[in-house]
Amino acid sequence: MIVNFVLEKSSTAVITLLDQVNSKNTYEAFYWELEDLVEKIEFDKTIKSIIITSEFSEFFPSNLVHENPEFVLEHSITQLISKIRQPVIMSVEKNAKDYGFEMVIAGDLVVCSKDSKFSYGQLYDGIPPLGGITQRLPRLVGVGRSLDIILTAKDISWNEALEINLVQYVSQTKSLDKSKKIAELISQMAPIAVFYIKEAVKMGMEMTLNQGISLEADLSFILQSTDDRKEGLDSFFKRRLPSFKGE
Amino acid sequence: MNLKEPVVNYYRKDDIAIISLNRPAQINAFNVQMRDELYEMLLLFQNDNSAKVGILKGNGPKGFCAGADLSEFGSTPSQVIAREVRWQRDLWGLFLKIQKPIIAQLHGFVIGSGIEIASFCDVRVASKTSKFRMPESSLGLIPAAGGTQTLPRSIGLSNSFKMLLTNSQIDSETAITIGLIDRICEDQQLDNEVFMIAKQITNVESHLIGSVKKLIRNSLDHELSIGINEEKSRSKTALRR
Repeated sequence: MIVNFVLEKSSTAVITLLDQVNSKNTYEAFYWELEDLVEKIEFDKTIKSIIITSEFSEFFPSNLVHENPEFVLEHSITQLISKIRQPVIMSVEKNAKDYGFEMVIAGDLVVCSKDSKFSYGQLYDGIPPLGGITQRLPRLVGVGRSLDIILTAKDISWNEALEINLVQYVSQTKSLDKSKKIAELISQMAPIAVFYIKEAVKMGMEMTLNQGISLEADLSFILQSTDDRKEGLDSFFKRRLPSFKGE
Repeated sequence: MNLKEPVVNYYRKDDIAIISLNRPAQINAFNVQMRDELYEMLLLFQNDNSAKVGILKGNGPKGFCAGADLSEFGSTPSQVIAREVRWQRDLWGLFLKIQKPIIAQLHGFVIGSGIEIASFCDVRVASKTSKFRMPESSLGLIPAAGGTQTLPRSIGLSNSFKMLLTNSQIDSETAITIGLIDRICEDQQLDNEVFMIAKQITNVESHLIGSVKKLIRNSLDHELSIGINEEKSRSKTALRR
């Protein structure tokens, strides 16, 4: 096993890419294990958010990606991450480089530590983009910054990353601890509402504004039939904490 | 005769229309009456030939708008009817259609629908001490006034997730950094500052204002080349006037 999976407080899935000396570390092996895991947890209603973290100093080892780029294109870990229904928090303990960087921006929220650096130097190894960076990065930081980052392979420090909105949280200590706190906040929200918000935001950005508004309205009408909506309003008026069931 | 106190006011000062939410005791919580009256007032603004620019503000010291009035939730008979009503009086569609710019004047609490209403305006100016939060998911709801669409377009995907999924409050400094608001000013200066911006815009010819607003509003909806062509053709028409 090269991908570790634990449930945190029964509502958060923490997935860790393991750096084991004696195991057969290949991109293929990581892909298959991650795919199995995502299939298992994606429709599990008790899991409200997912944290993905890594023991590797570059988040994902570039050399594994370089071994078989064709396979990476056909079996994309970044696509796997971006299609998850639950909110995905990418927890960067050390750095995120090349494909590791592409993985990190495929999540929804990014937490890093005060040692973290981000960079994308893959073009200098003669390898084209493999994980969607040319599409996702401009949507996060704009066109000019994306070209600067991808073409110059510059190092982005944690504070610059925060400034340009590449990361949303910087942790003073372990970024996993901070990630768990954010996951805890999300787990207090109504689960179906959380799924629908993620769907409306992500799908909506692929549509015109009017189409997106229409999607949001329809999701909101469907939500009117849920028990959680009644519970949310009831708890508000009775000034108590809600207890959402995801129903 | 309807003796209900109006919850949206409209008056004009020179060529500037001032539309104000008027439920100060409820921090201008957005209810059905407010939706209907805001719709009427926006139509009035659209058709008021003497008004070039609009200002949308909230009355009372506490805030612009504290969000949807939850006490009215659950009063709709069915989802089918709720959906019908939504499109019968498409307030948010009207916001997008109006060819004149509207400036949102924000102070105090700007929560939930308050942020969503402001996001349909064209320029957002907030006082220093304003507070912003999107609490819907903590109440088993999702934003239903366009928030999941307008926010990512102004503050980006990740900041939207941060606001929409964690119910955390942000102040004006953060709001301007992430692009939720466009200008910030001292609390006592707010009225004056917003009026000055509105006044400044009135110096531009109305047809140019309308054209630019439309071009910018639609710019993210299509490929760059289509937008460039659209700009070209509109500008050609404008030059020949």
